[in-house]
Amino acid sequence: MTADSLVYLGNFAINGLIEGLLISLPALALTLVMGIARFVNVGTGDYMTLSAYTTVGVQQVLATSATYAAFGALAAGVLVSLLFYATVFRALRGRSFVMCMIASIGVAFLIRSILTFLAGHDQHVIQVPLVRAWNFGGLRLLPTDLAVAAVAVSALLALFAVLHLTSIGRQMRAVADNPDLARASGIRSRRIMVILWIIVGLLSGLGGVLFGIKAVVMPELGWLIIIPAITAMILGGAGSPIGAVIGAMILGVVQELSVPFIGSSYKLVVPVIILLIVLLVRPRGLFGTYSGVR
Amino acid sequence: MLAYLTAVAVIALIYMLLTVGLNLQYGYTGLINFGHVAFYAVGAYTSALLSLAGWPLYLTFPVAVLAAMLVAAPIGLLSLRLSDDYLAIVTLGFSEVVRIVIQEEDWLTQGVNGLSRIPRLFGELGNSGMSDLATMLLLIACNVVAVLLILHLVRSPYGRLIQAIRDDQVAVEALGKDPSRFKVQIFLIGSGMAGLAGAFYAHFVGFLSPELFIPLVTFYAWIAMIVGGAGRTGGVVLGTLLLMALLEGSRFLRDVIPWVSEVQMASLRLAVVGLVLILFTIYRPEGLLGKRKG
Amino acid sequence: MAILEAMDIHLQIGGFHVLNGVSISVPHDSIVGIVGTNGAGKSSLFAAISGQLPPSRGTVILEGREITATPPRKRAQMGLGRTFQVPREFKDLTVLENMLAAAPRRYGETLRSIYFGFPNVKQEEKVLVERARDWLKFLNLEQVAHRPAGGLSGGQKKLLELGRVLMLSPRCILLDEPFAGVNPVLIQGISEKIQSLNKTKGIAFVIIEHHLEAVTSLADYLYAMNEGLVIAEGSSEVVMNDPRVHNAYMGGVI
Repeated sequence: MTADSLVYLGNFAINGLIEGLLISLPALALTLVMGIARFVNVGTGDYMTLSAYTTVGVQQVLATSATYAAFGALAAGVLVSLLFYATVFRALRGRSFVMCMIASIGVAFLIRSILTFLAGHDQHVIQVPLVRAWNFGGLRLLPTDLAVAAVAVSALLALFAVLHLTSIGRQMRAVADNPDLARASGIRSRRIMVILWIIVGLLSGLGGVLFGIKAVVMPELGWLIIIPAITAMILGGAGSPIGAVIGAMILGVVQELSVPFIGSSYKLVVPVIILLIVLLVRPRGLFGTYSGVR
Repeated sequence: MLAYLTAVAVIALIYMLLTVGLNLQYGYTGLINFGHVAFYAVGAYTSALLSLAGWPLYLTFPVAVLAAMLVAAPIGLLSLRLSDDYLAIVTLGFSEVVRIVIQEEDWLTQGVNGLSRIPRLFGELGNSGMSDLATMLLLIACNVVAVLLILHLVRSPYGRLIQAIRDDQVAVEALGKDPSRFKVQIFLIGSGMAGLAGAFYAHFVGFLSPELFIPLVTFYAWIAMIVGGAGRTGGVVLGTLLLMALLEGSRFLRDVIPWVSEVQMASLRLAVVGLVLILFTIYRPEGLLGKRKG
Repeated sequence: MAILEAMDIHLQIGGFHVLNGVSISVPHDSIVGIVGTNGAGKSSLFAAISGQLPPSRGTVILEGREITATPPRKRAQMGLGRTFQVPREFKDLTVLENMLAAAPRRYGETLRSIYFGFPNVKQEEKVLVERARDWLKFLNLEQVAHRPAGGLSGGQKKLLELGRVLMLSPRCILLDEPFAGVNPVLIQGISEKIQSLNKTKGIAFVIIEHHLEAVTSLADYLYAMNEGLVIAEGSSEVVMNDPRVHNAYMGGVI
């Protein structure tokens, strides 16, 4: 391999790492819900879309920087997440995975329909300061991307701190590991669910903003990410937070590295293929315990 | 007026065929298929492309059905190894992959530009409403035959066993019977029906493009099935009629509320689909005609 | 000669050793009971014998043939039936349909036969319906034959599970807690049916049960398990008076 092609691939790899970091946010949201509520919340993608649109809206109305507008996004994410927990997912407690997943697809459609009704199908952009890319002998790095990555990493660290260092985080992990035992030991499930969905809202909110910054804001934003996010969750092991992050990173890099070979339109095929391979070879993923195979 | 009603009836009958196939898979056998639109697409494009190459329609239709079943075969085999929840995700991803392949391989499918001038069914009867009427009658015949065949199957020992598989697969195995053969056969039959519906669609509308085969179509079939009552063929008929009322009714609504654009109407339709999915899974999962689960 | 033998069964579930070398032998035409505290490994033993969970060591022999590697489905076909701790009735099918779905048949379960072979299917169905009804009569379930199985009481569901297994003409049946959650009046009835099947049809039974009174009066031979091992075996009296058994169950619930 020549140095040139290494650099060429290297750029894709860098992009892949950053995309992987961004995918890890919804993947975490998915895996936490999977571990505690035992279903895949397809609506997570559209929580992200909503947050991205909120950022655009706040930015346009208040003419502020993306950073301040992002707080609006986080709030929107939390609100929509709590809203649908209270109205939909709480009512479906204990129902089969399929019913919950169908309802979550309904939630996804509902959010998307409201967004397109109000804001149309045009693409929007989140205004961030335009900075030239840094160039390290061919390897290009956009400072914006670096900032996005740094924010994502901070969020992940904060989340893992909550999961491992706070009592509520420990309780959440206990419920995910063994719901019956957790119930028997008196862990209050209502409080855990509320915290869970707040975290989901924060993760989706942040994910939406960051993806909106890195790419464009459009109605399909969340939908295009949900399948890679689900794959990342399953690759890392459904229910395992660290697995979601590592799975997302691996997926991000593999996805990007495939682009020079199969073209960027076929990018979505990569997660589906990886999903198939994982489910056939090692269904519980890298760190998971739920096997999901007959 | 008659022409309009005939057209609506044809579309309704196409959706009915689609939903009957899905109901066989999910309502009677308990197979979760979120990728139904993929086989609809394969049937449509296969018949269209072959007819454009000069094949007569009485050949392209059966080949379209076979093509759909061929594409369904690997998924059917996969369903033996994956649990319900993961099968749902895989089928969803698969249908998106099919759509992307159709979109990208434009040397074959004309991609986003769309496949046009597809020969119409009974086109030799001229451009007046006669060909539509003939198509409608053929579709009625097909639907009746399909429903009769399925009712016969469902009332037979075979039908009893697939419902037993739906109710408790582990018990079926403990009684010495192998569910695999049945699941694969049912999956293929249901997908073949989707392929047939696709072929009818292609030769009625005369134009195909990948955007027509998005997951929303799968979920149209799902709401028709859920609303009517999964597992009951009468329910499918009712559900399809209600679905058409939604799809066509929204068109009429625009005459009443003219300040809503067509695009916004599409958003409203999406919202209704989302709401139906949510409300029915929460409040009436057995559908309008289903029995309350004891 | 024994109809069923499990020899030196070791089983691990998720790294946890649930069975540490268990051997049981079921003579022809006998009723064998297995008792023990929760977590002793009783249901795991059934899982190993019926094939749901493969043992890490040990062999299972049915009528002289080794079935350790045979899939559960085939074991059922070879005459080894089982019921489940929590009944697994086909809830949206009627009681009669449950029985018919269980019956092994030559026709009627292939696409070809149902569309092209009506006469054979109808003929076979007639025979099987009669057989099913006979069994339902024996189990006192005939009055609910057309009720959806999901609406039955707990005890009736257990009887239905037994009925389904009987459609297989089994030689040996594993019953997992047949009396759990069943009202006391019905327990006597179920007990009598098990005995009748054993005496008149020569079906061997292996019964896991916590209801000591019922199982000790039924069983010809008893195994007591604790922590993945058999700690005592013999006739009911011998085992229930064994000091080791008392020790193990002090503070535990049998």
